[in-house]
Amino acid sequence: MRERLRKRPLRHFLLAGITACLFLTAFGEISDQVDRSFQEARGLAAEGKLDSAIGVLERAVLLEPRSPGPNHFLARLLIEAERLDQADSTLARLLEIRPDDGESLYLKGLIALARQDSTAAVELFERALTDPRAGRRR
Amino acid sequence: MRAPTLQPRLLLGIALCAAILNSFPSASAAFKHISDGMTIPEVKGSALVGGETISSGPTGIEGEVTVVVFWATWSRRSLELLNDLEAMLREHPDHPLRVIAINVEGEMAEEGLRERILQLAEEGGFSFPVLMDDRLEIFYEFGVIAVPSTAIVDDRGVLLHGPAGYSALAKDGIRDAIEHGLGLLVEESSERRAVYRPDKDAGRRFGLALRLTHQGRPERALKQVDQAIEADPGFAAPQILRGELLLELGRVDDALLAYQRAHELDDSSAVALAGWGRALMAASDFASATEKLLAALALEESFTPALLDLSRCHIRASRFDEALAALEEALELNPSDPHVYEAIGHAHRGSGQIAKAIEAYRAALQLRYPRP
Repeated sequence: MRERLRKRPLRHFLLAGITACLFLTAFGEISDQVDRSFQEARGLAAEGKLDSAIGVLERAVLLEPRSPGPNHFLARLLIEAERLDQADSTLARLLEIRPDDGESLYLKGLIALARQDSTAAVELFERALTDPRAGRRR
Repeated sequence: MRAPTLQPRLLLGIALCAAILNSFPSASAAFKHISDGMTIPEVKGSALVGGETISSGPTGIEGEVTVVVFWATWSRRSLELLNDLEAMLREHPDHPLRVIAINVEGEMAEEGLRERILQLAEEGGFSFPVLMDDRLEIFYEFGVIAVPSTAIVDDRGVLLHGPAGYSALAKDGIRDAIEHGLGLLVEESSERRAVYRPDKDAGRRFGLALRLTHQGRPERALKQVDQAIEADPGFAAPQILRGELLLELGRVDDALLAYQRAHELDDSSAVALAGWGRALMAASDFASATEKLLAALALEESFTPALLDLSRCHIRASRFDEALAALEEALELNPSDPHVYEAIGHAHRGSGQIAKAIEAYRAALQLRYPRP
């Protein structure tokens, strides 16, 4: 009995360790993949291949649906490609997680502008500017 | 985008006249937390040409004067300053004068910046090293408030003079300080103020407080500041930082007292006056805030935080044209400051110019969130 008690925590410890390693490895791979996709999309967008860049980012977003970076970039490119409804739903997902996210509000403001809605645009831009997480000043 | 040119610049006229009439020379206001007499942080980096490691630290050459310039390619005044410094180097080849130029547009640097810098250095025939402050670490460590800003340092690394911008007044001040440092101006100018040398322990604690402030630990920073003040009650810089920290912690009345004390200790500090103005704004006393901010600008016309806060006071009082005039000047000093565009947006919004407000807000947000 005493022997079993002594062995069990060790077994549990090993199991937990292996699980953590597998999780971290998988997570690391996903992050790398998303990072590669992000870079690839940058290159494609710079060459003016918007639809291809959007396709790459859509796949990246499936891997990390809650990460703001790929979602923001995807929304930007969708706006540039004038696919405003899709951009709107991408941002809606992000704003559900962080309702005061400055970059998402800014991009929503750009959508409002593209839809000729100045009132909504000015309000969204003003809300975006109140986000304290915005970049440092120069 | 630029704010439209407005009526005669009343504000700047007042500031300039006051600066000329004022018998005090312009105090060092290029840096938020480093004042004359303090040892500057060591600047280190690789020269863009040749890749040699450059350090601003003392070289052991007696009487050497080091000029550290914070500049940007978009700034016409920066290029004028660098050209003048190159001319000074050629004018005094036998004197221990060295110049280090630090480009500070790196945090949001566009592609091709390095090439543009190299081209400008070649066109200007710059013989001094040019470094790039990639993540603006040096910029923030110094607390640079305008571009260009200059630190003229003696052979022990002590700041002799640190003007912001490159106005006619700053130009004379820089030349005087360099020639004075090199011993070329033998007679002590009657207007030159004695440089305050803080107590060593106070200086060390103040340095630690600055680091803690940058790490976002205001309460711990405040403890160090209080100890710096205790070690040297005549040292104005910790009082200024104390005001800033107290404002951040929402202790407006204490902040007002700290800035007031800083001003009493150094009445030529534009930073202390501007901070006082900001604290008065936090206390909703906009009339007194405007007065202090104008006084700060009279001491240092290129002090962009004061211009920005002044514009906020004007907006609050619905003086939108005056706000835009101040912001136009701030924009010329730093066209990549999103806060300036944001304030321009508020001024247009206040005057009912929605399209212009949108344009300015958009410019602010583009700077905050550049396209990847």
